[in-house]
Amino acid sequence: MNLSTRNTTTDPIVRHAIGRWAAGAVVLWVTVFLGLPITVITAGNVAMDDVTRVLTQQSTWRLVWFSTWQAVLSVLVTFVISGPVTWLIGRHQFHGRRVLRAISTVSFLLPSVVVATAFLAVLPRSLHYTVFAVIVAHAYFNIAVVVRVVGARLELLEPQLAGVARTLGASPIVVMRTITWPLVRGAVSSAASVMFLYCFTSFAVVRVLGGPRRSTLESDIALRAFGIGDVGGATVLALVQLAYICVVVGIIRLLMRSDIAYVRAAPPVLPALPHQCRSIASVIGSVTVVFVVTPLVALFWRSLHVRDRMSLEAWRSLFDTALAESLRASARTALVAGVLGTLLCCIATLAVVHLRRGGRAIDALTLLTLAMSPVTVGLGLIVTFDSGWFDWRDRWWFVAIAHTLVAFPLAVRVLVPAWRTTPVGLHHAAAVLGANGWRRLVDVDLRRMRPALVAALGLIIAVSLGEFGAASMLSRDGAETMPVAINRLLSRTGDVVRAQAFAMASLLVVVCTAALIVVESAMKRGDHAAGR
Amino acid sequence: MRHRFLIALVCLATTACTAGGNGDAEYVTLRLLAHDSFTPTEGIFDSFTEETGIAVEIVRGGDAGTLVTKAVLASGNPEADVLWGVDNTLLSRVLDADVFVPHVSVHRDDLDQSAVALAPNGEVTPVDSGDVCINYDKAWFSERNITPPLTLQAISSPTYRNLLVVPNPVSSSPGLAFLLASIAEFGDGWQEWWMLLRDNNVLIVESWSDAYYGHFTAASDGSRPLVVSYATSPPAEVLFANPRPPEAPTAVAALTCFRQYEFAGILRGTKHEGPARLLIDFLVSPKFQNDLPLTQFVWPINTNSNVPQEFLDYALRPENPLTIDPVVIATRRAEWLDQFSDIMLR
Repeated sequence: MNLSTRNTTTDPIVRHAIGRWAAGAVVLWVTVFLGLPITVITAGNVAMDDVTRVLTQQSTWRLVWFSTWQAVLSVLVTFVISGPVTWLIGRHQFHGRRVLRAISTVSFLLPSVVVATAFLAVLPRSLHYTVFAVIVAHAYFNIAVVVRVVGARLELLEPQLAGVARTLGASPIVVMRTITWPLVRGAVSSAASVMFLYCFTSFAVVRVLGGPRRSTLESDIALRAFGIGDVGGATVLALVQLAYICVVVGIIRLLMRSDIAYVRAAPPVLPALPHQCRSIASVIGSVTVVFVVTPLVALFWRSLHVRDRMSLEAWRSLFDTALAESLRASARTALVAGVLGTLLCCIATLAVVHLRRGGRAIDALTLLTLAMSPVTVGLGLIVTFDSGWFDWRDRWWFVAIAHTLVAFPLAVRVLVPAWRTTPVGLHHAAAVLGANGWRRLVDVDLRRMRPALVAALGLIIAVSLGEFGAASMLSRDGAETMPVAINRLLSRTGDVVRAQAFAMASLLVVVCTAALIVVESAMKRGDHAAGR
Repeated sequence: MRHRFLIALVCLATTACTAGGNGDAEYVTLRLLAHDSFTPTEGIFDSFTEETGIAVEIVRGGDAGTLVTKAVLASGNPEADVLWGVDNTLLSRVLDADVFVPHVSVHRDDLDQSAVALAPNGEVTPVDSGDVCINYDKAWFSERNITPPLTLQAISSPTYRNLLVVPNPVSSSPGLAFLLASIAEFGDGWQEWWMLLRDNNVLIVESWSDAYYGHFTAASDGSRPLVVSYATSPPAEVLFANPRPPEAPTAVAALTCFRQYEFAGILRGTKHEGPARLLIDFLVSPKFQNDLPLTQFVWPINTNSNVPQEFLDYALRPENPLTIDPVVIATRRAEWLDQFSDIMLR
């Protein structure tokens, strides 16, 4: 056990240099592909008049208010729904644990258009177009965030610690308050920030499930830009959203700051599930599985029905036509995004772990990519990279670049904790044996990090497979990715076409799940390699 | 060390950029940017390519509103060469932004002149037309012995309480057409009419597909037998069904229709202006126009084209559809949508 694992590379000068270079690269990437487009679209389309018009409109503040309270409520509901299963997965070893973890992550990676449509199919009609539907769908998406972020921290808690406290006479509540909570607080705040961002900027779910009467800032941005053609107003709203989120996330981080970096040197061995907990555990497990799987089954069910008849026509015609092209487009976009994104996230991780204040700034910067309206960024990219040798609007890999930004915050959150748990002792040993900084990076860190790297790669691939906003905005050579194709099929006439959309969505679920299984088995191999 | 890192980064960046460039020196390939509903028969451009040596690549860029917003932003430096799918409710936005190069098609005299008149300078060329109307579920009304509503006025009567579903005019193009229909019909009284609809518990949903496939009794397990859709939805119900029913399960209230025209144009700034002109001419030639009814469920704009009999059998063509001058739409659209939102959505 050791208390500080921040010092992974021993030589502070090398560490600082690596950190600075890494931070520079990340800032450059985010500036070029996020900052620049926003600046260009703001400069070209926003007049002073737009700013005053939008800021003085009452509806703007109504949008801010609705976005806020539905997001807060969604975050709370998500914690309630995912709490039991997170505790189960984070604290106990049992048969089927990895499968349960994979299943509870799938929902996060599905295109929101698809999930929203699936919810319409599952929810009773009286609940359509209600805030309830929106919040349940948000909770559905975000279970994965809690399970992954908070669950991973729970795994690292030393079980003896609570045991010792209990022996010394502390009640379970006192153990919770004085030991467990301070140790998981950082993870909870991190998960809450990410979820708040996702729910606050929610678009498809709010539009499909909330109905036209309910709008978040993000969905109103799209309505303004495309429905009314008011790009100036839309951009101002996007900036309002960015500023607001910066403030809110800043407050969350201040309130919930946790400097306790208490982690175990050795990977944890989770205690097996106690006998008396078996039945409650199976209830928790099955409720979660049913909750996650029901909308997916509804998708599949619908793909098998044309009107009221059972029919394989959709599947058959899908394999004849657009599918191969979309699959190919999705696959190559996801692969490029995965490789590029993993590389970038590694660099970002280096910056986060090697710099003190700068590290926190980079960490916050990666979160910011979530706060920016994808519609606005998409439009910004189109007007920025539009001439000469950097006319990239029709390049298929342009979508992949956008996806690296979308996946940034998630993958960095996988890599940073993994890096921080690398024991200092290994570095000392390597240094004593004569390895210089770079050698230690390659031989110690990268080797230890391999499972986390594979996990990040899989995560980015899955995010890229399911991402809709940016992909729909950037046109490219002929092919479109699967979520874009699904959305297009959903908006067309004909029962077969519609069933095709559901068939393709089912297929996307399968592909995303496969990516997740690869991630899970990579983690498993990593655990074995680490002597788990 | 630092410099090597930097040089490597620059090299990486430049190779990434140059690798993307591909030359199409031998043949011109035109990019045809279209909305998601553009689904012509596969290979329809083959004969055009054979005749002219010009290949056509279709790029789909979202719904019509998205397409227009992007085209306006990229005005003068377009993503493609030709754009398909601006309709008369959006037309003014592209004309104001000077998005297109004027072109007088060789087929101009054969086209529906009322559509040509909407863009008299030829900035865009009309390519098809359709009507947005109230559709009703025939079986639902006959089972209950209720007469379906035949006019907009009728829909506001208590007989049709809880029966209508409408796509949101702010986010959906048929929804906007329906709002415009009400404005064309009632003039300044349109807001009062919508208030009556609101009291009649009209359901407003996000998109046309939500309305039709989520709530319309004839196409879903929904509970609304009246929906805002197209005059060509009944033939689609027949021709897409397998097996085909002898008659359409749905019908159209002919007096509620608003006419939509769609246009195509040459995007200003294209490097292939000459070939793009040939493509526009091909798009309005009978060869291409004949394909439209059964693939996209719209009417050809070229009066010399042959509409397939099976389409004629089921499709309704309203005699005197409602319409509003695009210039008036341009100046008042935002205001109308705002007023609509105030009445119905806030």
